[in-house]
Amino acid sequence: MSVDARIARGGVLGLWAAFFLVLWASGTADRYLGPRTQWIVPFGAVVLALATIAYAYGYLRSRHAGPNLTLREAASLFALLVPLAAVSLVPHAALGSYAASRKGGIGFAFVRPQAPSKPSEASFLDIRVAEGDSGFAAQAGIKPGLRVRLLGFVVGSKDVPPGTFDLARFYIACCIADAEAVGVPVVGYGFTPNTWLEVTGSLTRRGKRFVVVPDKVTPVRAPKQPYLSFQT
Amino acid sequence: MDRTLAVPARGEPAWRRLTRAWETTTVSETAFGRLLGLFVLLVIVVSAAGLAHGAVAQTFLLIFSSIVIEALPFILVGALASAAIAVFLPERAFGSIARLPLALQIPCAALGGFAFPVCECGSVPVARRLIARGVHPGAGVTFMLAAPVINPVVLASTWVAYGGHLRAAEMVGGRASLGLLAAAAGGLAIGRTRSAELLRPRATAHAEHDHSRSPAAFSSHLVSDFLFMGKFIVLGAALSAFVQATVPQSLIAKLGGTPVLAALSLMAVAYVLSLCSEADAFIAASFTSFTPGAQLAFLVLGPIADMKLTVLYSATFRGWFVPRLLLATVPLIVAGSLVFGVIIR
Repeated sequence: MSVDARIARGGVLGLWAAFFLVLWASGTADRYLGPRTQWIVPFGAVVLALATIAYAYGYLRSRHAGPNLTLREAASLFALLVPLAAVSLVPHAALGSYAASRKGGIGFAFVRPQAPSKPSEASFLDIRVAEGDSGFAAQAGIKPGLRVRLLGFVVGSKDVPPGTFDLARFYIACCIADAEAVGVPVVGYGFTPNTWLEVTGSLTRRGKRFVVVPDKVTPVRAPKQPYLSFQT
Repeated sequence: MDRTLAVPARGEPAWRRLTRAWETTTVSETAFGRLLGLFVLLVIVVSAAGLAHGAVAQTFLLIFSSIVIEALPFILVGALASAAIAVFLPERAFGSIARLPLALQIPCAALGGFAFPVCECGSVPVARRLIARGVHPGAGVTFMLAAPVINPVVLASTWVAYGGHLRAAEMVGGRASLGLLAAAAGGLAIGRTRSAELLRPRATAHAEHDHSRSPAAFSSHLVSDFLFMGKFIVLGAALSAFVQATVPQSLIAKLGGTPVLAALSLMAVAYVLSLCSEADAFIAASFTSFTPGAQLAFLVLGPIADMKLTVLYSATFRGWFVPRLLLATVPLIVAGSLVFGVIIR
């Protein structure tokens, strides 16, 4: 007996509605989307759920048999399940050192953020912007000798001053597709890429770059929200 | 699986017989259950073997899923509008639009984009529906290309991304003007093509839809459009994620030496990243080592052509559409970005 295509379509639609509802209820949308686009998740959850209900209602009210599911349509519906499988394969993963090596180097000179309320709260982005923008550096109080505390992951980058390693966070605006790793060199060596560290120390200048001279480096667990956002 | 009544013609090539079988062979409940089981088993094996935890695979899967999660709700908006057009708008409304001369339809369609605040994925099903219901293909394509560039949400986000002062006004003006020109060029490139020559026939039978003006007919159209477009977004997102996970973006940056190459290289970035037009200005504004002209090229091309859209266009329109669209719009965008660079200097 052949499958009624309407049941298969409704099933896929229902799975997507359930996925968006779970994403919304669990608050995990920020692992995929930036703050500007997170409204998509409740919107998708509500509209997909309503569409599923309306489609199911139409099916139940229908008095005639629906079309049979063809191989072609079955393949299409399975293709729509692939992203759900992808999410289930890497439920807690985040972009790391390898992605940083692929998603950088296109002259991404960062948008000037709002200055931190206290200089000691300077973020990766603040420090990187201050390297090339003396006005922002003065406004934010970012200068050699400033004590900072940074939480990030180790990037296996060679594009750092000698004797340092790159500690970075990914910043996103829209979704992970536009993620950009923003790193600050830290004096030291021997840390494995992707290790999350909390570094406390003071800033110094090495050429054009600000470098952190650490007095405490603590390996920590990856934070619940691994990405930061461009607050422009 | 059952074979429907599709009698192969004698001497028919093997590939055509396979295509016919692909489109007409129906799936039995047992076969469907087995396929579903196989799919779940495959996911379990990939997970258990740790194949998804390599750096490349993980980067690919994360980028892929985030593009799909971001794009699908916009497809849904487009499917909602498309279903509303199909079910609730009377045929005579399209008849009167279709009787207008093409020279009037194209600018009206371009300006109509102001009223449709969705990104590029949503405008494709709407344009398809408009063309299918009698709007001139050139005007439908113009609307499809203009809406994601010039709608108020996109222009407002461009204004905010560029800081809200003179530069923001220049970028908003440049984006709206060049976006309208490129959309009109795309529409004119279609020429006097008839809808049947432009639109690819859909596998879902026309007769399958309920032609009443009931909520059931609306949901049937909505689900049909959503599932049809959705699978091509999945394919386009996979291509984009694969390129992003394997090709270093710094390779593209090396091309940006002169204004023309800078514009072309940021257009290549826009094509690969496949960003939503409502948020891409925040990325463009960050490319401060590129000229404003090159940034404008990024902002105008992205909503007109990117990797996921190319797959979507290929499924919606005939094979000649994408090359002709690129030929009509890319040189114009490059030239427009150079002129823009000179004007705002």
